[in-house]
Amino acid sequence: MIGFILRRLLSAAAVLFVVITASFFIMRLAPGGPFDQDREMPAEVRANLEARWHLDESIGQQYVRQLTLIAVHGDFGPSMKTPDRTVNQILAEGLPVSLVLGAQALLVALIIGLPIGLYAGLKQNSLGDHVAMGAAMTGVSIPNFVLGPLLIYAFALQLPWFDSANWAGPGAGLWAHLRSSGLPSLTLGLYYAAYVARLSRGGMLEIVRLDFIRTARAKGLSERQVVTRHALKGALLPVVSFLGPAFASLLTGSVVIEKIFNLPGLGTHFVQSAFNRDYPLVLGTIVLYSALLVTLNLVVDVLYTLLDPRVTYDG
Amino acid sequence: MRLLLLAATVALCAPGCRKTAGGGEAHAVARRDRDPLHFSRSLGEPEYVDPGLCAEAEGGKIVGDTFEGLYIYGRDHTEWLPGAASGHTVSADGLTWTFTLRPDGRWSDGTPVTAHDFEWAWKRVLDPSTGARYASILWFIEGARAYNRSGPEDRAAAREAVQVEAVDDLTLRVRLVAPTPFFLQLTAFYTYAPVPRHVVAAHGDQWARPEHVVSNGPWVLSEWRSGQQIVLTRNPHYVATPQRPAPFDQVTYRISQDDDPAHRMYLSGEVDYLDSRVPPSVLPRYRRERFRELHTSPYLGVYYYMFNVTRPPFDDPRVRRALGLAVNKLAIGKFVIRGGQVAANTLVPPGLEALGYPGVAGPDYDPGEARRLLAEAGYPGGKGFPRFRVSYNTLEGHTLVAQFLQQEWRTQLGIQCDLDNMEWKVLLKKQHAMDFEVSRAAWIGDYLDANTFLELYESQNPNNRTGWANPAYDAALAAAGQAVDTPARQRHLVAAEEIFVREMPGIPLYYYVKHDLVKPWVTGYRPHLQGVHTSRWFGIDLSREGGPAGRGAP
Repeated sequence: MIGFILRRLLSAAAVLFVVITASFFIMRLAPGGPFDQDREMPAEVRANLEARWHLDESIGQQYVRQLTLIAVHGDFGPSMKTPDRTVNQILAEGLPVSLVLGAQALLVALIIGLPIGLYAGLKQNSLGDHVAMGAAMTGVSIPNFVLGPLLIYAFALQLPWFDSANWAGPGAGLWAHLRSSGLPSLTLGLYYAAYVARLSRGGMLEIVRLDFIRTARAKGLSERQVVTRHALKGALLPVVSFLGPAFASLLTGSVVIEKIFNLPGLGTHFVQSAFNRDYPLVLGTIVLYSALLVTLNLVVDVLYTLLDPRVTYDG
Repeated sequence: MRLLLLAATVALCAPGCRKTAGGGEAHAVARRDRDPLHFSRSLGEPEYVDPGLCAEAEGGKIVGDTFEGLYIYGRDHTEWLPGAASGHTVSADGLTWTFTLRPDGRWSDGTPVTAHDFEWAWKRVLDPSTGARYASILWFIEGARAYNRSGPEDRAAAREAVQVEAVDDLTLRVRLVAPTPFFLQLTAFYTYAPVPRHVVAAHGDQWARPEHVVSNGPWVLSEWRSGQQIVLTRNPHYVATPQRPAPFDQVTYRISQDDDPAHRMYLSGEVDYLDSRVPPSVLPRYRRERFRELHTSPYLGVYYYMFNVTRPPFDDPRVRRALGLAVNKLAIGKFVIRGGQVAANTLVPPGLEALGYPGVAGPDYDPGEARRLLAEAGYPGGKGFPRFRVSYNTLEGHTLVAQFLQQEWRTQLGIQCDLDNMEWKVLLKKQHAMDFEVSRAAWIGDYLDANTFLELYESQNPNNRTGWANPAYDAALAAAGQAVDTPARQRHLVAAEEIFVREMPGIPLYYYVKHDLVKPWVTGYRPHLQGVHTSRWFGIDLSREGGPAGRGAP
């Protein structure tokens, strides 16, 4: 197991190297630079700015410089748009927001999706199953840029229960935090709740037909025991394997939600830095997202061995 | 993204949605905060709050509240009041300006504000290694331009040659290149604000962060949560006077990137004042139902299309005039982008009459004359006119305008063009390389004078990206620059603008307007042509909350 994790970490480093290299060169292909603006600046000022950011060096030199900075110091340098703040600072401010939002949305997805899916799986083709799956289909079909404004209209403007454009943060107290983060978490989570419901239903349907469940029933175990002790673990497998990518896409997919709800997460920087040609910040966000993705996939693989005894990574 | 914005604006359609069966408002929104000494307003994310590096309006608002220049912006665009200076004198030739500083001016750490701080701050902006993007607004000072463009070898000498000098702690003497009647207003502009040399020296790039910053205005930056809010608290050492009030203990700027969240904060009473970020979709409702809260005022900016006059057929003034005359500009503000924008026939926006600029009457919509000019230029009915490309950066409003022009040109003149939208930075690149035929452009005035617009088309101006050069035009502007006497100066500027109108190197389309939403309990709001609304002129009167104005008109 340890060996497996180590091997995966090594390959993760290789993946990040490729990501850095590819993004470094691709973003330089885009026309325009960080200092292009409507109001032309004197050539001397521009030259000074470019020298300060080493943009006057060859692209190869710049690449080596950036790579060394990242690999040796774990640093992306200052943002070109706002040099009084480093990329690390900007990411450190945005990441907790995106992480908390993502985690809460995932929680919403599990709390709503799992019971519905398992229930539907156990009562296949009943009226309850149809209603639950109908609701899940609806959930998958409503895009969050429709759902978000609708929720805001109902629960922030008509009924002043929630904030509509604010992020208090967990530090501001549970109530203030829930008030400000409730709607975005719900908007982001509902879509995934629908997925979780469908996956857990499918998992349950598959498991309850297997021999070991029949054996458990034959032993005379109560239905509750059959479900909780035997079926549940297996039924959750598809959901677990979905969680890693889901969390990653919750993080990256929250760009739209962050825009609608005016949240100071990573999403805004991700999009805006590319438009601004803020090279260090573009690289920083891409590398951070890639690192999260790689880590999450590793966590899911490890979780797998805990849930399914047949899965091993040794040898 | 377009769909997203549409959905967002439709669903959040706003104030009038709360009607009860009786037709009255279900409830007037109450102010969330009971403290009349706390002012809350909206803001987009600023880049810099360092006065020297700041180069956009949002950062300028923070600088305007936290730093105090020699003069300050008044309640509206017709007044400038002494700020850090108590007064000034100008020499007869209009070139030497001497400012006397207030003896009680203090930085927020208690250090006295001196003329040396101003001298140092201005030279810091001009130092090429500072990389200040707005440095050129200081070029009116003798020697400033040369220092700003100096190379490493002659830099020290160039610095000495900049004609700004602290004669003593309280006297600052400036010598200008030419008589500059609007120099007084420039001293209120953020780039001219003083910076605390001792703090910049101690903290370098980081000096303007909330943990280090020291300023001389009524408030100090005490918190900046990116994307969330900026909090200003009182500068304990600021001596307020009736002419320089500091009415609040705290000013909170709530940050949002988009109009919709900003407007929601206004709706829910979280901000008292929504500064120009009113979503266009809610305008009709406010006009109908809550017109007392909506303030629509002229703004010192022009939206225009520029020609690359080095490429035929746009080298022919008749063609350029024809293309301009064929567009019904009134329709743009009314039916195309529908923000109430004012039709533009000339380069300089209206509103400067109050300051002595009479303006020029540009040619009105005249499709018949347009067809005649086009025929005269050799393209009767548009026959033989080459298909051309209109370049603009991707944004809903720009697309609508481009489509409207495309349609006007096709139906009125029988000529065809293709629309080419691209990312902002790509468009800039193309403009700089003169790789366009017709391109969208816009200009916001830096100061209240026709010169800030007319100099755009000066042949040597780096912002003139059209290839158009006209010796008579340059001469008129140069003459205006040398004139000491105001009426004579204005006559030269008018002469220049008349040349512009005749030659049409660009088609002015509309003048900007600014929409603001102001809660009924806010006092002191006055329209300002430059959109400068310093917090010091506002007040909170809670007795006006829920009054007749509070419920909106009907």
